Amino acid sequence: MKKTLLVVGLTALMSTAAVAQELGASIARFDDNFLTVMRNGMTDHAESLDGVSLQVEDANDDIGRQIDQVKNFVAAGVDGIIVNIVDTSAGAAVSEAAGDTPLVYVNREPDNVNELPPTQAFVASNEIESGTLEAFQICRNLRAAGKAGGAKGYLMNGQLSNQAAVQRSKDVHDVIGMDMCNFMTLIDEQTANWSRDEAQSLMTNWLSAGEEFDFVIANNDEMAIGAIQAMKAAGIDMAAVEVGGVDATQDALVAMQAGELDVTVFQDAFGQGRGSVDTAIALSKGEEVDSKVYIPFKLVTPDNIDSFLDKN
Amino acid sequence: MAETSHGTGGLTFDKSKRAWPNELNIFIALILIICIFEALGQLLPYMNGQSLLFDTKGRFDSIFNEARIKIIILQVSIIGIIALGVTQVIIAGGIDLSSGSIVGASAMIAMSFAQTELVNGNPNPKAIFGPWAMDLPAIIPVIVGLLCGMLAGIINGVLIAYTRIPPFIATLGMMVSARGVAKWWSRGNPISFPTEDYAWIGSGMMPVIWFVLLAVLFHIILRYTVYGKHTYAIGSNEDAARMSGIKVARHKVLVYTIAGMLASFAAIILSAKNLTAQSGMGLVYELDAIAMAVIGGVSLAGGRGSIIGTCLGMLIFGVIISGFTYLKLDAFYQEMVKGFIIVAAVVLDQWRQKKAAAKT
Amino acid sequence: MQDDIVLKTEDLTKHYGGVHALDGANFELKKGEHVAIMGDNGAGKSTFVRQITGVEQRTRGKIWLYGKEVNFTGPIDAREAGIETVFQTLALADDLDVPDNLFLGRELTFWNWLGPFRFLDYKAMRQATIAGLEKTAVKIPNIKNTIRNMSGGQRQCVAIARTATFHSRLTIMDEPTAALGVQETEQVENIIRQLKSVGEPLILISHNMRQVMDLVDRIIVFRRGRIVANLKRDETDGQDVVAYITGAKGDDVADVA
Repeated sequence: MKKTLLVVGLTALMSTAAVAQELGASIARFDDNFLTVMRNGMTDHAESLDGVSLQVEDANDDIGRQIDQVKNFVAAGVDGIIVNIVDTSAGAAVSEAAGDTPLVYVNREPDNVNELPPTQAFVASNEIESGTLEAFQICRNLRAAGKAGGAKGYLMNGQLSNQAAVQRSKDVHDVIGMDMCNFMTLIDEQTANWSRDEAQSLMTNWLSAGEEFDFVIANNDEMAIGAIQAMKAAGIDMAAVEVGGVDATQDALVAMQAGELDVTVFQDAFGQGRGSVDTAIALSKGEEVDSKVYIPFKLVTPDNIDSFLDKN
Repeated sequence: MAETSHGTGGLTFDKSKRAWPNELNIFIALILIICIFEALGQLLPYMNGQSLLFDTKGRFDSIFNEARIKIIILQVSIIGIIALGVTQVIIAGGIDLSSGSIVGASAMIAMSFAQTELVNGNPNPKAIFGPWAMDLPAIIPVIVGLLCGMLAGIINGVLIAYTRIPPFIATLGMMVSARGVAKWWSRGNPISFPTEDYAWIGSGMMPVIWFVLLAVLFHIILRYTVYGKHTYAIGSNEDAARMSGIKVARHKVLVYTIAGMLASFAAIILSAKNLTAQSGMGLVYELDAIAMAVIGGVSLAGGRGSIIGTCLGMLIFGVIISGFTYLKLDAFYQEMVKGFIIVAAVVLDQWRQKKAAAKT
Repeated sequence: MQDDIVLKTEDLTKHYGGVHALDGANFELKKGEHVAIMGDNGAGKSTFVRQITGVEQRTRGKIWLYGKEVNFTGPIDAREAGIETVFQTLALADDLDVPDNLFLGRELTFWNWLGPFRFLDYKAMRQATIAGLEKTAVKIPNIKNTIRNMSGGQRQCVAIARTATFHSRLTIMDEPTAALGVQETEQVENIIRQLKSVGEPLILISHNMRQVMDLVDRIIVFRRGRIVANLKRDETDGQDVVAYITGAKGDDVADVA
């Protein structure tokens, strides 16, 4: 008797699952703040949609594991896969692992982005915007502060193996190379691995050299906050230093409200997550989708901070 | 020829075998590394004759570059606290790979009881619990954090002492599980904005003060108490310790528990210093802590090493990190050199062991 | 039971499965007496010692120490009752110095309310160590030296000195000189003579006939798990003992050894 009930129950469960849209997602890492907001965007959006179920896996920064996760999703017969790729140069391998199952890359641009088959797409913000927006605003702030005659500063890089870090730093160099901003010079640039703690130590080490500086540009907000904490500890007047980050995290917005952080760039993590789910569903239904779906970056300064407070 | 003297009954004693304190070697290595950085500061043309430790610009009252001396110690003091626990684990013949993950888990859990209700007049955007957990006295998150480390340490110790799982495996399991706990606790979301009292624990040079206090305490414990003596005995010859009536299993549980608690205390200081707890916190701290101990002359074979040695190993780490930033060299080189020094320290230790064995 | 009996066993037997490693050993040791146990490998000598020191649990039989019946559950029990054993494999911690090893597991301490973190009384232990070394006439120039840096003879001396330091009621030495050179062997033998002169009872397991004849009062010979001979040193000689060891003599079991 019990057994029959169980079987009936199981069949019922399986049949409801069969009608629904089943999606699988593999995220590069669960402990990254930005990716967590993006992941929340995915799960919240999937929950709000009727008949869509989403299973999220942590690739733990291991591309081999990520490819296995994709293959497992394919084997489980999901309707669509979302991948936040660990290693942007492994796009071809991930695309191949997905086979005919619809696949959406989110946030990080795979190197094969221009050769994606019609069942695959890429959802992100255009990385080239972020570093440029950040550095250019710092440049304008410095000019406004009357430092157009020459300004020195530091650049904090994210993980050196990461495409976004490399791109953002390159953007900073490009902006400094422009006629309008070539009064800015870098004293030094170093990596702090996206981490607030490492950024604190790095900034304090820079401070110990005792050189005058006017700005600190960081590849993300966590490092910018670390730099701010180190400068505050050293008694530096935060009004005299221009500090920029990227991401517009809650912590960063609080720092901006306190007058410590001057510039950050809002990358719509939540929107990327939501967009990736929508794109995956569209692909699984056989709809035609652009191979690149861009969700724009937005510059955040004390002037427009209020409209971002509840975003990330 | 080694000078020998005779005891009555014809026993000979070789004076050359008298132990030259290993800490002295490590201290010399530290001085050498500092000298290399100072020399490079003078020789490299782009350095303009800057100095690592000395004040060349008249910024301080003393002849030293006080800011740099502070950061050299500050940047390693939190991992140094973990290294104190790791030191006694290794001396007892074990290893602890879980400390970095315990930092992550303890920081997340402690921080969620340390949050402040209002940030810039707005409700805390990172609130984990309801209003009941806001603005609690700082002692509560501290106790909660320490309990996390204690629990993890007890599990490590019991697994190792009573099920005879090798320490490497047991703590590897804890390393993976505790990191899982850290990520699960808030589903990967960072936990920020602690109370002022909690933040005080990690503010300014407080991490260094905590480190010094704990280093002195553990130096005394390892050298002058029964606990310390039994730790050395177990690492030196576990069978002899057992035959001498030492309750080896119970002692091991205590050793790992203390290591876990030190890791969680490091987590408290780290989260207070950064004003945030994140699930990735403390990543590979266990390896840095083990490396500090090994560079400081703690033998991975167990039985040998000291807190003083580990402190020197920690300073070598700090000098290298600051030295490379001062030379404006990239992190790549820093990692390469760090790896080289760790291997060199182990090779040296093995070589000294062989030499000692050959003499007897 | 007589008052001057240190150790007495009755029908002490140990079977490993079907193997009768020790069979009905009746043994007595008097105060101040030094007895040697001899026999071929596998004759039951070490098995006998392992039953007395609680390292193994006997199959049957009884043991009395100073007239009190004892049932040791482990070697620590035996040690607490006053039986000090110098094992063939030296139970010393290589990285500790002499006093540390002597007092391992029974340290002299102060501030005992600190529990496991009570403080070591280094001074008292050092003094007791020197006293113990003097009692056994062992001279180690620097007792702060770690065992790792000592010769085999010095290590053996430390192990033996442990027994003297704790006023043991019975000392058992299992092949104390097997791994030592001539000079070091001589040193250990001197210590044994010293123990004799201060009246410490001793059981010595040895293969060395000259040593046995030099040192002990009485010789017990084991063969195939049984005591086959109980010989006063003064009434026997090397050839006689060898005859018992090899089985040329004494297939009848000695009554009470």
